[in-house]
Amino acid sequence: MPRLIQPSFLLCLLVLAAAEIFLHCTLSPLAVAAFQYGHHPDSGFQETADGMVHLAPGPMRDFFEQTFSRERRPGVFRVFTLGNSVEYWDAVGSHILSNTYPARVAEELNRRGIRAESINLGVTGYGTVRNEILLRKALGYAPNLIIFKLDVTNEYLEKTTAERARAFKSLWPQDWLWKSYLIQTGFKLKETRLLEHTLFSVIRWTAPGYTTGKKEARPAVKLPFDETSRRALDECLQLAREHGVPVLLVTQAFNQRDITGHLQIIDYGLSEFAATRCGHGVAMLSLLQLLGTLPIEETFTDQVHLARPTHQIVARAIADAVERQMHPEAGK
Amino acid sequence: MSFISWSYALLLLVVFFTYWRLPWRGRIWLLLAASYVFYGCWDGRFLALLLTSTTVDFFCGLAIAGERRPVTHVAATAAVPFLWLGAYTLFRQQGAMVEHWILAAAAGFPVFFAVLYQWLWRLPADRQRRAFMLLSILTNFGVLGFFKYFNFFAGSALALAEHLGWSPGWLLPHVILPVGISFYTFQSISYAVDIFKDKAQPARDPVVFAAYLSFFPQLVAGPIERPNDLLPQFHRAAVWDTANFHRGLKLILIGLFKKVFVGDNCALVANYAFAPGVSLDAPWAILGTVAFAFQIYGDFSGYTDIARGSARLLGIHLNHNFNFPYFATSPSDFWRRWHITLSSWFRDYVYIPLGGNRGTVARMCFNLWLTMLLAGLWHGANWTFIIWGAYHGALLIFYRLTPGLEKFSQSSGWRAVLAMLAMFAFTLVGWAIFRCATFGDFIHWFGALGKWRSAEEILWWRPAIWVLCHALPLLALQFATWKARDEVENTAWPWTIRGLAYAAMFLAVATSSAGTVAFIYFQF
Repeated sequence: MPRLIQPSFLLCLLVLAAAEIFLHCTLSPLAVAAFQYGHHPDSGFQETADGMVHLAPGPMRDFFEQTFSRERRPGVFRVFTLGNSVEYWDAVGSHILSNTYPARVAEELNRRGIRAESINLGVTGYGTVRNEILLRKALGYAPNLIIFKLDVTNEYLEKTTAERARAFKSLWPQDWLWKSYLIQTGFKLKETRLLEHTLFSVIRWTAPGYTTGKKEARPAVKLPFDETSRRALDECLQLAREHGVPVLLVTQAFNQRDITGHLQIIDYGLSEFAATRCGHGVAMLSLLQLLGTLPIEETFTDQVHLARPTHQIVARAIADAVERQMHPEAGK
Repeated sequence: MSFISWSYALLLLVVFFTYWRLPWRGRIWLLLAASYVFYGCWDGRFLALLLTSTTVDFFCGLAIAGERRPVTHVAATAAVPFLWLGAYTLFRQQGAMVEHWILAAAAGFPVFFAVLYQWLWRLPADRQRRAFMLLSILTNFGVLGFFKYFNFFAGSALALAEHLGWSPGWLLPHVILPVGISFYTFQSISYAVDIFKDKAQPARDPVVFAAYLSFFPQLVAGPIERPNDLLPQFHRAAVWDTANFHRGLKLILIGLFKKVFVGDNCALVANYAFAPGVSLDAPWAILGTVAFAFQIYGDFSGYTDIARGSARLLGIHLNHNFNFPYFATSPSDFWRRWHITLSSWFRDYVYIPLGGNRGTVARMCFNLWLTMLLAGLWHGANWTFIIWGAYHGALLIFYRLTPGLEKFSQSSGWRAVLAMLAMFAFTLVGWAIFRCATFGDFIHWFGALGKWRSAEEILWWRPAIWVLCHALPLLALQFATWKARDEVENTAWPWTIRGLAYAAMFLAVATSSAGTVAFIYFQF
């Protein structure tokens, strides 16, 4: 009669348990906080006793390193930008804060005589759901304007990471496995070391909300967001209205080849969608309209990310919009 | 209830711990209750269909064996499906759309059957057995045909009529496909036919028969069991065997590995390549199809392993369904290795009754082709499945008729490798047909094979690494178990290596949350 517990099974359990204990002993609190995948409201924000806030680059909320005062200084027009890798990178492979359009918005406004400061909260891979968490935090720092980027390419990651973050905090038995540091670490390693390098470009184009592949001239969907993202955006706008903070929705544009092989700029209906949310303190800037007439090869560095000069063009357009529509609010 | 859910794990745990504490009769009732809960979790109304098949086949089985039950017994049992449906719809509203009268008619059929049952006993003795067998077959095909194919054929006929300029303006009733209907109806048909052919004995206890037909591990996606293999295991109490327990757990782990790690991750690439509107080039067309080949194999053989492992925990043996299908060296070999219980079902209940290899070559080819066409249609109400069946039928005929091919495929060494690669390539073409939503999509896929230079934005080789990372561990596992002639482990390895392999497999599964992907064969 064989033993109920085989030595190989026992070894399997021991190895898993030992690995779990090892990670519990060695992982830093910062790494453990990363298991919340940016869903922890305070992750990356370090407030100091002198009234300053430091944005610290860290796991899952890899901000640009920036410092600003908790209280807005009088007479300064404070802008927060919530976005993704387009805001984080001034060009693919290069991220210099001063080259990004959120930073240049402040420069442009200062040049026009509006004292402004701009905080870039763009994090690679972020979408509407995680930006809603960031917005709640940002609204606590008395902004005059929120620039909220609308994109459709991060919904898959948003969903999976939201699910993992929820499971990590959950007490339900079906989520117990996800409380394991070993499994969370393994998942994160697989996601960052394998998935992002091999499959990210594929899954982002087959994410929910898409009905078409990469080369169709025009998507069939009018509302590119899935239900979760749409709900998150509406909550963001409602929240901003409650705080009396205007929002500028910036809709992402993409370049793709049409069926004849020619490059064209599209935005998967994002502009049309954003237009339905405008009014009552919400305005929009369509990158499709702004960049549509420019030479595509010089405008983008890849399918999505903007070339360095394009950041300047976008910053100027935002400054125009602020000057035109939101200037009366400056300094209040 | 999906196998990849915590509710299933809970159900299996409860059943496992209760099962071994009960006497034989209690176990049968427990299995029946668990199976109905398992099936009812999807949509309780459709249990009425399962009950209809159960009622008709139970009494038909007995009648084929010459045993007549009292009319009160038949009538009381025949009322059960209808009563269940009535009670269920009274207390619970379900969201899935299906016309109430359709389900009511299907659930009420056993009442009509009770009348027919009495009438058929008046037939001469030599015709009674055949009549009851035909009644069982027609009932099952009726249920299957209506719920699975009505939308397809009626919709196609309506579209044709409109194309010819005649718009009858009919509104077709909304019919949805009940989960697992293709599997349990085929199991029912083999039950009636085997009893007719004196290959099997009927169940004499309705509870045992109901538990046999609805046995939850294999209810919704097989393996399709024969009465002689499974039914006797319900007639006697299983004896606890620790080896069965170990084997069951290992099968479940391997099944999860195949489904979650291999199938669901390869699906990410396949879904992209076969998404509507994607302009493919040759590398992407091939990569997408290879990814789908591993997805469908991981998905379905993973399901089968979990089913067999779950049954094994209860001391019940289910048949193999896969035997390294991508190592096949010929079309015949492939069908001896892929979905074995279905292909053997078609062989025994369609191909051989049609005449099989007997008769002229032309007749054999027709039998072969028709059988494969029907096997394709079994997979779903879509022209692509029919074309897929026809394609495999054509492959089989070509293989049979071409001199020297059989000898070549059975040779060893480099010839065997070449035959294996060639068969895998033919299989991939089949999977492309299978995966495409329409025949037009397949033409698009086929056309892409000629485009070797294109300005694709998304490079194919990066996702190819992803597919390799998930397919190679599966091939390594398959190679190890094939070498050991043991489906769950290589006993030649030291226990330490096996322990580490289990830990690695567990981690591979647990860290592979690519999102829950439904089992492909649930839709069939």
